[in-house]
Amino acid sequence: MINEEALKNNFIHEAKELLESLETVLLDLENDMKDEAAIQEIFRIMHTLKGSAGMFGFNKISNLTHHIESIYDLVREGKLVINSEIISITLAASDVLSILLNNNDLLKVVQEVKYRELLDHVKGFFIEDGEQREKLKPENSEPVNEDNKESIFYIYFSPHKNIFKRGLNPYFIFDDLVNIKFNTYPPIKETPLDDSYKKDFTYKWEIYLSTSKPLSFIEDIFMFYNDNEYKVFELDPIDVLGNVKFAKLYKSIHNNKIDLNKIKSRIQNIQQTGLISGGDDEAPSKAADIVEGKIKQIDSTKIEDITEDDIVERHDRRTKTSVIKVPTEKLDELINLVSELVIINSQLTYLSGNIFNLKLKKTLSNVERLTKNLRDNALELRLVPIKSISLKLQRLVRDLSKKLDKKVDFVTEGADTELDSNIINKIESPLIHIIRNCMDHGIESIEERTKKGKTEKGIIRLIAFYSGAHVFIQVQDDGKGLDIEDIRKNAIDKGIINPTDKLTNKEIFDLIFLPGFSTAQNLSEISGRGVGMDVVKSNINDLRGIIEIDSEKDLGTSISLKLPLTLSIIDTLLVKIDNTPYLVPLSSIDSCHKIEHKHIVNSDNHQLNFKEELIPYIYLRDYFNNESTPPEVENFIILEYNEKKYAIVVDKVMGELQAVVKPLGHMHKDQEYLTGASVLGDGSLALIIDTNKMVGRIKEETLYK
Amino acid sequence: MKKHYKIKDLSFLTFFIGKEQFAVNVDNVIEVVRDINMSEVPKTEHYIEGIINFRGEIVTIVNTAKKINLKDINEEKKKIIIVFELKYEDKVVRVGTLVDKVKKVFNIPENLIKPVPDFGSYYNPEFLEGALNTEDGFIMILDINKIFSTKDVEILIQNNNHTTAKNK
Repeated sequence: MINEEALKNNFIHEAKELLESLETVLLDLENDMKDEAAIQEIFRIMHTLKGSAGMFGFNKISNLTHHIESIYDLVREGKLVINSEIISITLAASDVLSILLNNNDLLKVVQEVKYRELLDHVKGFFIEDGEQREKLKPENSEPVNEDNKESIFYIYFSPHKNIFKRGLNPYFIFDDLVNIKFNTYPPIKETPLDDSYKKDFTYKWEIYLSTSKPLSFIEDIFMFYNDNEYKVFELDPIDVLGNVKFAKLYKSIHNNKIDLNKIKSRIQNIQQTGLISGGDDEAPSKAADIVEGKIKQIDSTKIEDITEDDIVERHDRRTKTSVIKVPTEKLDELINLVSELVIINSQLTYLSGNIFNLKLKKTLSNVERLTKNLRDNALELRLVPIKSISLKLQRLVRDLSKKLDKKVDFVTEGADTELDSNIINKIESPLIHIIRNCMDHGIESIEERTKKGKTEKGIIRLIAFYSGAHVFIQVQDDGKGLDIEDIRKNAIDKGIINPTDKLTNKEIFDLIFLPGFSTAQNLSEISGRGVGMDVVKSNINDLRGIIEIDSEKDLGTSISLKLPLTLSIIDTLLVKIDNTPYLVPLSSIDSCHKIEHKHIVNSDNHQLNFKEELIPYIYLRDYFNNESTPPEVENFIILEYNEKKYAIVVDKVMGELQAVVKPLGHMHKDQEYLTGASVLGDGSLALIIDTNKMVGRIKEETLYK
Repeated sequence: MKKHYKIKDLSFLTFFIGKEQFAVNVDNVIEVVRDINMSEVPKTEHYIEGIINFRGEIVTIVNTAKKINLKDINEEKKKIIIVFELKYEDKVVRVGTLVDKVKKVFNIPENLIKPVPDFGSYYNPEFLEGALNTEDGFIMILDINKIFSTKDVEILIQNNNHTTAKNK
C-alpha cells in the first residue's frame, strides 16, 4: 500500500545514495578532469535529484540542484571547463544537500547564509558568459536562433502506472520540454499534488515538438524512464509516414487508423506557434497548462499491441541485479529469531542429556549443526563492506589536506572487507579521529618532507582484511612517526611512570591510550586535546576489539584495530567457579590445562611457569570474591593476546557453547570485565567474561607493580 | 455553572519490605514475579542483588532496602520481584526490585499525597516521591527513577556521613 510517508522516505533514502556516489564521482573527476563519464554522471545525479525533490517539498534541494545541473550542462556542451573551483562548489553543494535531506529542507540561520552564498557562487558561473545570462531570466524568452534548423519530433510519453513509486514526477518532463523550445529555465514549480499520486498513474501523452536540438538531447530528458515508457521519433513534415516505426506506433495508439491530415495540422501548429501541443482534439495548449496537468487522457487500450520489435530492440537496460535492499530492522528481527533458536537448541540438548537414544542424539546433532549454519548465514546478512567508511575518510583527507596545506594520498586496500553493520557504525568515529591525527600530527608539511628527502605527497593507507574470527583494520601513514622520548618524558611528567621504569617501545606507545595524554606541541582544533585516544580505545574495547600502535621515527605510524566479526552470537567455553557459570569467548582461548590448586597457591607474583614460559594469570576465585572452598584440581585457561600468553584460573570447564549475547543493562555500565550474559540450556544465566579487558587487568597486576 | 475540575486518581501497587509499606505507580509495573532464579553478578554495587532472565531479557534486580539505607529486619531471602519498565536516557529499560510481600493495587486521588516527611537518620528520603497516610498505615511512595538510576553514589556517601554523624 502506498502512503505519502513511505514514498518520501524512499526518496530520501535513494537521494542519500545518490549523494554518496556523487562524492565518489567528484573525487574521481578531480583526478581526471576530462572524465566525460563522470561529468555525465554528475549531471544525471543533479537532474534526478532536482526532479524528485520538488515533488516531496524539498524546494531548496530542487533549486540548488537545478543550478548545479546547469553548470554541468554547460560543461557537457563544452562551454565550460571543469576546474578545481567547480569541483569544490559541487562538493560543498553535496554537503548542503545532505543537510537539507536530513532536516526536511530546513536550515539553521548559519547554514541558510552558507546556502545562499553557495547559490550565488553557483549562479555566478552564468553571469560571466553573456549567452548564459538568459538562462536565469525566464521573462527573456527569445525565440530560437533561426540559424539552427528546427526539426519536428513526435513523442509518445506513457509512464508506467507505478511512476510515483519510483519517485518521478512526469509533469517535470514538460518543464524540460518547454526549456528546449524557449531556451530558458523557468522557476521550479511545485506541482500541486492532488490525490492522484496515491493511485496508479494512467495519463499518457502525445507530444509534438519543434526544436533545433538533436534527437539525443530529447532522449536525455527521459533519462530515468524505462525504454517502454517513451518513444521519440523525428518526423519529416513532407513524408510523415516515412518513419515506419512512428507509423506503426501511431496506428496502434489510434485504433489502427492514421489520420494524416490531423498529424500534418499538428505539425503546422507547432511550427507556427512554437508551442508544445498535446491531447487529442484540443487546440494546442500552452506549456503552462500542460504543467498544471490539464491534458486529456489518451485512450491507452492499444498499448499492448506494441510488440517488442516495434519498440526499439533494446530491452530494459536496467540489468536485473541479484541484490535487493532490506531495511536493517528486518535483519535485526531475523537475527533475534535466530538467537532464540540457538537458545532453544541449547535447551533441547540439555533436556535430552539423560535420554539415551542414539537416533535422538544424532538428530539433535544435526539440528545443532543446522542452527550454527543458520546463525552464520543470518549474521552474514548484516555484513557491510568497509567501503562506506573509506569514502568518508577519503573526503576527510581531501578536506584536511587543503586546510592544512599538505599533500596526501588516501589509499584503501580491502575495501570489500565486510563487517557487521553495527560495528561499522561504531568504528566510524574512532577511525575519523585516527585519520585526523595522521593528518595533523603524522604527515609532515611539504617543505619538511622535501627536506627529509621524502616524496612531496604523503600517503595514508587504510587496510582491511580477515584473519580467523576477526577483522583487522589498519591505518598507516608515512609521516614523522611517534617520538618515543617525547612520550616517555610526558608520561614521567604526568607521574604515570617512573624515570627508572623500563618499558618496551610497544608499552610506551600504549601509554598514548591513557586519558589526558597528548604530546603534540600545538593542540590544534583538528585533534589532540588529549580527549582522543583514550576514548578511541574505549570505543574499540566496547566492541570487544583491540587497538595497537606501532611507529618508527620519520618512517611513519601504524594503528591496528582487531575486531570480532559479530557481537551478538559467539562461540564460548562454559566454565564454572564454585557453582556460578561463566562464559569465555573461544576466539581468545589458546588452550586449557588442569592444574593442582597447590601450584596456584605457591606461585610467585601471579605468574606460572608452563612449558618453559612464564605466564601471568588471574585467579578468578579471588577476583570475584568467591569464598567457598576451592577444589583440589582447577583449570588453567591460557588466553592469547597479541602473541603473548595470559591465563585465567577457574574451577571446572564444562564444554563449548554457542552463546547469544545479551547486554547486562544500564546499571552495569561501570562493569569492567563482564561484557554481557547469556541464557543457558537450563534457563539459568551465565556471565560472559571480556577477555581483552581481563588481560589488561592481568597486565596491571603483574607488570606494573 | 459550577466548573468541575476532576482531581486525578492515581493507581498504586503497595508492597512490604520488612515492616515498611511502600507504593509504586502502577504505570511502570510490568509484572510481579515469584520464585525465579537469580544470578549474582560480582564486582557490582552493594545494592545490586543480581540479574534474572525475564522474557528473554536480562533484568537487573535492585535491593531497595539496601539502596535507601533501610535497616532490613527480614533476614530471610526475598523471593518476590516486581519488574518495572522505565525510561533511561530515551531508551526503555526493564529493571526489578526484591520485596517481601505484595499487597494490593488501589486508587488514590492525587491531592491526598503528602510531601516526604523528615525521617532524620532513618533512611534516605531522596528516593521517595511522597507519602500517604491511610487506614492501612503509613505508606511511602518510591521514586522509581531514582532507585534505578546509577547516579547515586554521591547521595549515598553524603547520606552515610549524615547518618553516621547523627548516630553518634
